[in-house]
Amino acid sequence: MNRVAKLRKRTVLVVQITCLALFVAEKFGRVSICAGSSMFPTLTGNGDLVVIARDKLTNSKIHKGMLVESISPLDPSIRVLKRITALEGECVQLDSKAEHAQKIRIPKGHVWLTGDNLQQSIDSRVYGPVSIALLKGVAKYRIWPSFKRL
Amino acid sequence: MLKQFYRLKPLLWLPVAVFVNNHIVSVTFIEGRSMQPALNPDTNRLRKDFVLLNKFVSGSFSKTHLKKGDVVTLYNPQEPEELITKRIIAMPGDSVFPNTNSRFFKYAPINIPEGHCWIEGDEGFHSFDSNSFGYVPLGLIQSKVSFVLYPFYRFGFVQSKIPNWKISRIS
Repeated sequence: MNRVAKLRKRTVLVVQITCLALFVAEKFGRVSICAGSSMFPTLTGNGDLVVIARDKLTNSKIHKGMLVESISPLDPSIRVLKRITALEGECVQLDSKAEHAQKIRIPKGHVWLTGDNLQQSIDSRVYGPVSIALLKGVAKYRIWPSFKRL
Repeated sequence: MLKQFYRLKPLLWLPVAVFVNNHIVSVTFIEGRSMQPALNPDTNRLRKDFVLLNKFVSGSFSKTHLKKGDVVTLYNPQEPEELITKRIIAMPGDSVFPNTNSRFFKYAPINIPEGHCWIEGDEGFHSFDSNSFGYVPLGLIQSKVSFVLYPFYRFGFVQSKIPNWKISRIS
């Protein structure tokens, strides 16, 4: 076999395997590196490895307290990991200390996402309720630095 | 044993096909009349437009590959499983006057924040669009409707142009 044919065969195989890996990552889930201090007590913020199960999330599959991966409403190229703290139809108060705190009613098909570290988190308090269609997966386990169920 | 596996080798192309369908190009039927007259000009429900979708616009590409006037498919922000087809009327940094019958209408333009866009159907009366749910994040956009394949008499590119009667509302 000459060298060109061999190279072509290798390239085709690499493309096929890459596509298979992407398919598995999009259909079933993947391990993702999470950096940033917004989820501090739960994740350290120094590049934790988190198993994210890919699931088409609907109204019946989500509940409060779930850790979800979402496309950031401010920048579609960024994924964020936040906790669902309120569901559709509920009212949230933006600042619990202020006297005339602004109350927001979460519209249909939306959820309220916040980070666990409220001081350093850009979340629904900045960009408002997030559509469920933007949620792309559920964080199930942390596998590094130590194994933990999330 | 190994010979039998070799016979299954064409199956390795399946993930490649799925990748192309999900991320590069795909085809679909358009339902509903909200994009009349650009798509589905015939109200007959049996005659649906068959279109080519350019999927190269989602995620990080949406900021560079989308512009005002493009017809896009996106998830309905209120129904996470429903895909809708609308036209982008305003991109981040623009301001737009909602329709007078919209609940967002207040005699002042709405500024579109970073990472969001204002979408509307061409047919103002039968469209469930930004006039009812406000601006939407660009992350909801799945694909751009770029080419009509069927019916053949309208075979060709979908015009990327905001209808004339809407231009005065955008600034």
